[in-house]
Amino acid sequence: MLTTRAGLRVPSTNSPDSRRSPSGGGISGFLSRVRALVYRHQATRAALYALAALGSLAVILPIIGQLLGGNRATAMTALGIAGLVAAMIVIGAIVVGLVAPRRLYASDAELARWVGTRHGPIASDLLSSVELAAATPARPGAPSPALVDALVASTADRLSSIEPAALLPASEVPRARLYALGAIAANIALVALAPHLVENGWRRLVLAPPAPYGGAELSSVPLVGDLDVTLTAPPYAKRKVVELPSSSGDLRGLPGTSVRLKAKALVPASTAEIFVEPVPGEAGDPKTVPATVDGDQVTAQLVIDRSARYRFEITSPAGDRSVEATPRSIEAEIDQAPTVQLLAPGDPLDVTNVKRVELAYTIEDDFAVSSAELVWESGKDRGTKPIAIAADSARVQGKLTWDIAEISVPSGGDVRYWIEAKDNDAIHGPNMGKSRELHLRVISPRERHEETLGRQQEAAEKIIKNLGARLPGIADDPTREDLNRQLHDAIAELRAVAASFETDAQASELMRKALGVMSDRMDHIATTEQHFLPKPPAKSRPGTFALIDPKLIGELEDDTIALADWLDRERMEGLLDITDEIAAHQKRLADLLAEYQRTKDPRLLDEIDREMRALDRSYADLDRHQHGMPEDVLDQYVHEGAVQAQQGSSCMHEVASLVHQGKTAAAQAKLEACRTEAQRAAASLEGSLAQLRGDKFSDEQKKLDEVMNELADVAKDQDDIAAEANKIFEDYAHKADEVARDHKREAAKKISPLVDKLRHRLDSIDDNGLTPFAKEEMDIVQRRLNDVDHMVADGDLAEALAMAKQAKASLDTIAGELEAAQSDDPKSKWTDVTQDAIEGIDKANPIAKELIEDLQGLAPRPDQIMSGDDQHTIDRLRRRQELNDQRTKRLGDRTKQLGSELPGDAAAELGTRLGRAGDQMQKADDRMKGRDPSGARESTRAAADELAQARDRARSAARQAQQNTIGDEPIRIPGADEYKAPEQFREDLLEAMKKKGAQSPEGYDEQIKRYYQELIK
Amino acid sequence: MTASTALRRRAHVACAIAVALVATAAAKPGRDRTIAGDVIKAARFLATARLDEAKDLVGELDKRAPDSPEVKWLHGELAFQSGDYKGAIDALDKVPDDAVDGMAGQTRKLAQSTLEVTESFTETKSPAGHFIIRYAPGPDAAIAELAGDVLDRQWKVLGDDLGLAPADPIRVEILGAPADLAKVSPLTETEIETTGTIALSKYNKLMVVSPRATLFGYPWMDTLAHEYTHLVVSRISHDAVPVWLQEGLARFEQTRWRRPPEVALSATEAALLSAGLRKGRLITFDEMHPSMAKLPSQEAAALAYAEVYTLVGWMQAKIGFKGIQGALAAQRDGKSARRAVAEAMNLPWPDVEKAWHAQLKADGKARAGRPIKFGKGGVDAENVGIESVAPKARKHARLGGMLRARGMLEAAAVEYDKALTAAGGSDPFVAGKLARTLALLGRYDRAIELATPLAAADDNDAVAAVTLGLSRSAKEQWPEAIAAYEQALRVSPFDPQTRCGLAEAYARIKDARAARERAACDLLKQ
Repeated sequence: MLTTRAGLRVPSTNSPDSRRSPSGGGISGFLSRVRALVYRHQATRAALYALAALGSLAVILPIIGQLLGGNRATAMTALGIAGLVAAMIVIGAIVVGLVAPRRLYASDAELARWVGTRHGPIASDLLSSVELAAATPARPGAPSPALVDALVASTADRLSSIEPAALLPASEVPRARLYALGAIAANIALVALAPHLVENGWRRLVLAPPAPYGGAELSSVPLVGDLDVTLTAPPYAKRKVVELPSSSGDLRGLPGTSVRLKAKALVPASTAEIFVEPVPGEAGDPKTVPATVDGDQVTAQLVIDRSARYRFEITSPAGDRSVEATPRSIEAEIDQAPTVQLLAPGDPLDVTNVKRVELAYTIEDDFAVSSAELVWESGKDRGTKPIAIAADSARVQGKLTWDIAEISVPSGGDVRYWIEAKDNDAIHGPNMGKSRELHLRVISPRERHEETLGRQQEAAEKIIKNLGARLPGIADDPTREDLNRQLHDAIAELRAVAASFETDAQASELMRKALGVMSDRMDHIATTEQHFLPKPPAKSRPGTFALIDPKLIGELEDDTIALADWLDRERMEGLLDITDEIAAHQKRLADLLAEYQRTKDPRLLDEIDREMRALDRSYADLDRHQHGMPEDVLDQYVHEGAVQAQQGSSCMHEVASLVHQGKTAAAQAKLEACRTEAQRAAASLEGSLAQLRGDKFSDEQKKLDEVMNELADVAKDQDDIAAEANKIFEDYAHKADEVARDHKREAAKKISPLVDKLRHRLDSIDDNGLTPFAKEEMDIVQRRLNDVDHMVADGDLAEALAMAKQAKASLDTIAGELEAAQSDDPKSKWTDVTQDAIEGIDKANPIAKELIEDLQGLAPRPDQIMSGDDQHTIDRLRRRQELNDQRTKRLGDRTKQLGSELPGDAAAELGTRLGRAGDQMQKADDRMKGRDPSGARESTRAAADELAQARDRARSAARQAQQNTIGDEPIRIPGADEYKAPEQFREDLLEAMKKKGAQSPEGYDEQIKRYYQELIK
Repeated sequence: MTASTALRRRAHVACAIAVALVATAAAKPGRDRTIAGDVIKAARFLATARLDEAKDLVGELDKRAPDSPEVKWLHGELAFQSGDYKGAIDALDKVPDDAVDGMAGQTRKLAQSTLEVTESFTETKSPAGHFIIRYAPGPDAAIAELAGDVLDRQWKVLGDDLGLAPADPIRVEILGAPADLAKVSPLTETEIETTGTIALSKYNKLMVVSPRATLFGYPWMDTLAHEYTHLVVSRISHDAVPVWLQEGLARFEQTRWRRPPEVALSATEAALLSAGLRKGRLITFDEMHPSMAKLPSQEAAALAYAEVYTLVGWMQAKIGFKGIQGALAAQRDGKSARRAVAEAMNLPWPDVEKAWHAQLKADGKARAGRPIKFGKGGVDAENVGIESVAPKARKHARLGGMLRARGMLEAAAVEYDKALTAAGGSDPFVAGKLARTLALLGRYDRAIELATPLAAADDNDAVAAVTLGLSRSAKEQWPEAIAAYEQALRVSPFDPQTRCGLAEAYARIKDARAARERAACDLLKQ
């Protein structure tokens, strides 16, 4: 404590008494408190920064240790540098945290200056107070003590309002703490995440690595010689034991191969062992394999598990240990994963979900394929299908039929598939090979059609909503503009739907046209409305749309109804399509059950299950479709029994249960009952469709009804004609039988000698005079003559006549052939004998003619058998047939003309059937003209059958039924039946063929070669 | 319309038993009472609705021949007709299906399928305790009490009209779907749809399909009363009354629980009768035997029902219920129906027919009728029944339905209006739809104007009745609203609007039934 000249007590710089001074003591006390705080602050800050730096060093060091590997010198260097850095950090912290503050802020003036930097308003006064109070003696011009005292008192007073702690920078210590904590956290994290790295890193830095080979002396020359190696491959490889005498010691073998080493020690040896070490650059620990020493013979046994190196180590009787400086290599052979090739009918492939796809595969492995499976993925679904593999085959090839019904994919869904194969590696576990991925899209024509119908439904919904918004009246122009835009959208969608139907075989032509015309009409009116809409902010005048609105509403009303009608009809058609599918599946199931009942082949059970699953799906579809139909359509047109989704499904479950109980006969009976019920339901549903068409598409149905009525008339007439023709034939046949009986004995008497005579004449012809073809033809003549004999014996003179005519025709052919041969080569050595043969034929010909004439005389023509009345009747019938033919043609023309105005495929189906019926009628006409009652009967009946079929088919054809509902045949790989063998196989086969060819008959080598070449192409 | 009597097999059963047991009886002559004879007798009791007598006799038989298949079958049949389906199956345990001429198998199969359907049923007694209502837990609870109430009322009325008020509680089974009715009866589902059968009185119980199985309900209360009438007539006459008279009586009595006796033909029935009379082609009573369902067409069946209905109505007008009771008693005592009726009318039978035909020509009162519509699982039922609309109005009516189904009520009202104009302003289907749409739009006066004549013309028009209920409630005309809702209730008890509307209306006039309706409303809203 100092006393000023004025008797005031001012704080001395370091005196604790200054705190006790009421005024100057205030400044002094203040500065003391600040100083203590500043020291603590700086010490804390420096300590924390030092901690952070040391922590960082602790993180970096083990990593550096790890990176440096086993290099001891580098490790020591790193460790030294780290130690230096750490020391510098500690020293730095002491200097910065303890020494420097004490030096900087020891004097009150310096501290006052620092306080001034932290609190500007007091800076000048505080420094002045401290300096003036400390100033002795008074200098000239110095302020008076009183003034100084006053300044000191005033400054002290102002300091009382300043909190010393507030002068310290608030963020410095927290920041330093953050760094320190970060460094600690990094260390903890490193230890937690990579404890081995930390441990190894430090170990490598701190500890010296052990001496290589246990400190053995490296020998630059080999320690053993005459090395014999025996390799025993693992059992799965099925390799023979390999003996390698006088080997260099470098080994190659599959992992798991047992190696026996036998060598002669080149230096005195008491014990020996083998060091096995990893290949440089690869991880792994070295290991020691003991060896046996017997005299100078050293033997050891090891198992290859990976590529490595090994050295012999010999301990001399004196105890000196030597190890070979040059290592020998062990090369682990890699067991390759199987290679898999997959072939499909196409990539991507479009299939329906009821199809089966044929796939071909080739799997090859260096040892053997143990298993393989087809794998597919669709979205989250994944499935596999095992492929049967013959045991221990290194090469497997074959085909498999993949049932798409196994996949649960919606229409349009994409499926990736491939084949995975595993080999038989028993050491490291099977290696897996995978083929390339192929794709298929599951698309059913029906489902695609339904998707388009769904879009049509959406467009229809927009149109009805547009109508609904317009009916109560449109409030303002913006609303109208909005509605107009929505309507244009709906029209565009409708056009897109119509375009989709262009390529949809299940879509009716009439519907496509209707949608097109409808879109055009709506577009026209909507565009007119758009034209009258004013551009904002202008407003339309009242009455602007007075003419357009009723027209547009009327159009929308009609179109809404038309769209609903078409959708109702298409939905009904959809139900029928599903019933078709059900019928097809049931039929196939019935066939399978019959086959299973006959053969008991268990493979058929899989097929039966497949059909059951398909039926389950179809019934579920049927149920879903029914629930999607408007209730009024169901109520009005669909009888309770017409859609039997649940009943049908439960019926089929009973069948399935019987099959699984092994009661096949009972299952067949139940299935028949189910089929009958399904057929009844389908017939009822067809009736529903016809009724709906009649109600909602009356024009179309009316035209169909007209055609069907006319067809019924034509068919009835044709039935009558056929019945009449049958009656004429029956009469004729009866009479012909009587005539034949009368002529039988006479015929035998007359014909047999002629046949014998002709045969004799032909036998006299020298075979050498006949060409090979003439010889064949001569055989035919002989056979026909035998036939003539038999027919005459049977009394069938008409047939005998036909045979005789054929014999005569063949004789003419022989004559022609022989004459041609003569003219081709007149100087042939066969000329004379051929000429004799021609003459022989010429002599036989008159006998043949006589034979025919006699037979004609004995077998009267139908017109000779038929009475005048009969002929009159057949003429009359012919006229009726002619008239009916004309009528059929007219009906055909009318059907063609109506074309798409008839529902479904009715026009095409009827056209085809009527055309066929017309052809048969024409034939019947010709036969009647030729007085051929048998032919007339046949053709008139065939015509009647065609017409009956036309009637039967017309109802179904009136639907837009899907084609090829269920194909039993899988989708095949094009050309897979002519399977191409791999290149190597072809060559092997060709080579084998060449060897075989050496033993082939003389002169046939070339043909055999060509045959094999064709075979293996 | 029901096919209950058409399906009776009682006579066949008795005959079958008789044939099966004749040989046994012949082999043991000389006894006063043979087991075979008593078995036939017991079978006859069972087949003619005389369960008490059957019970006594079967008890005796049980002592004498407990192991015979016939007695076991009688036990089974008795248990089945008493409602103990499990007991029936147990009684027939180890009895071959082909025993008792195949009856054992039939009873077992029926008992098993009935048990399967009714196993989970719960039951409640009618308020007066004369009926036990059995139903599946769930929404059917909303009609159980009402059913009991209706049947109790019919019980009392029939006791007066026909002279029999059964002392034993009668079982009533409310079935969830027509398929269930097929399971608990010999009918197939197709037969049920074809004949329009929705209820049966058979096996000493009433079976009725719940109105919730239909799209728009059906007059289920009258149907219950109808079937109960069959049961009473069978008991009175020991099932001796032929089909035509059974149906005539049941049809005539079915509305007695709620109104005085009267004949009110539907428009279709009136037209059929008028055409039949004009062309002289009425269905004869002989043609009605053995079953109305065997008639060649639906039209013929409808005409037959109309005929017998008017006949009983005419008889009642002439001779009163006492006369009808006499005719039934005479038939029970063995007289033919014609004879019994002729005696009751005190006229020779040809004169009875002549007088009845003359009455028919004079009676022209007709009301509209509508078929029962079962749901077939489709979507948007707004246009069900549209085929009844005149073709020229159908397009707009259909559009109205389509718009209404999509919630565009204003637009729907415009289309219905157009349809009504096109139909000449008087199509019931269109008027009903328009009225309901307007009510939903809050245009109550016009809705009332349209719906009132519809509800008056057709007791079974629940749509018009509910529309009226809604509109009257909105105008706080509570008594009128209650009348309308009660009319709807008789047809469509599962419509929450009906039950909730009625609950509110009853509450407003402080009627105690408000609680019942509120409970039903809450249940149906779940």
